[in-house]
Amino acid sequence: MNTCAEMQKSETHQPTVERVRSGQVYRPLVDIVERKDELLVIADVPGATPDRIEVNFERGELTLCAVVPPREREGQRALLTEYGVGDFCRTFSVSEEIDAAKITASYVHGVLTLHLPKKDSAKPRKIAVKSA
Amino acid sequence: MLTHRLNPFAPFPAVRRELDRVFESVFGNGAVSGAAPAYPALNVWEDGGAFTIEAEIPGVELSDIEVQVAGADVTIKGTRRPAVEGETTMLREERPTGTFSRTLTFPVAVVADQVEATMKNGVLVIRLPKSPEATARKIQIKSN
Repeated sequence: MNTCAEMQKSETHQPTVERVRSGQVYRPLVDIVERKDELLVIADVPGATPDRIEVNFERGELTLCAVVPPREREGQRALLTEYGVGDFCRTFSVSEEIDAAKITASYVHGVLTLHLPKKDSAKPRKIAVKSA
Repeated sequence: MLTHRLNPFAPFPAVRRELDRVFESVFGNGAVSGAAPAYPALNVWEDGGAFTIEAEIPGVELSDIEVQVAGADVTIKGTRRPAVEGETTMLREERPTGTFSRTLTFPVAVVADQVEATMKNGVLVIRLPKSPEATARKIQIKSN
């Protein structure tokens, strides 16, 4: 097995979203999987409040945002700080035709999984060729 | 536009020096200058009685994480499996998978059998009580 490929949490800028909360916003790392009948978006959003994760699909743009409450350590002194804590937000443009009404999402162990079913017109079809 | 995260609360130089001393072995995982950072990234705090390590390891359950304590050395090990297995077309693959291991050396020993680890929504928190010998060194000075 490989060792974990090292990737850092990086900051993001969402020009289309106006924020009223203070604090840093991070860009979640994602895997995107294409299957015959759906796209799967798997995003790392550790520490999020499950009921404050928003997923929007509009005009071919998928946006996911998750609110991450600060993790206060009162009376403790920081010895090492390798990452920051803040909300996650990221937008994707999706060229496939997606049935927006059937998008489902789950949040387990800090991982957000979105199922984006393709519209029937976008699914691959096997065309039977008849011989005369 | 992506930028690497900068820590606005970067420790003062004096603290930094201390950290370098305390954690000089932390980065000794064979990393060379310019190498990718070690996984997982760690935040560490201390109070009078304990050290606390926090790491974001989404997709991994507590039962898949091993914490080893040997005196002042604490090692966190585990494996992150791919979210989807089998025959698939990966359009994007950013989430790291595989085995990971990091070792921290603390300035004092920790009490191995009192170490507590919790995992919630992909955030691992390990509390490591300092050994009593280490915390009993505070000397009271009386004035007349």
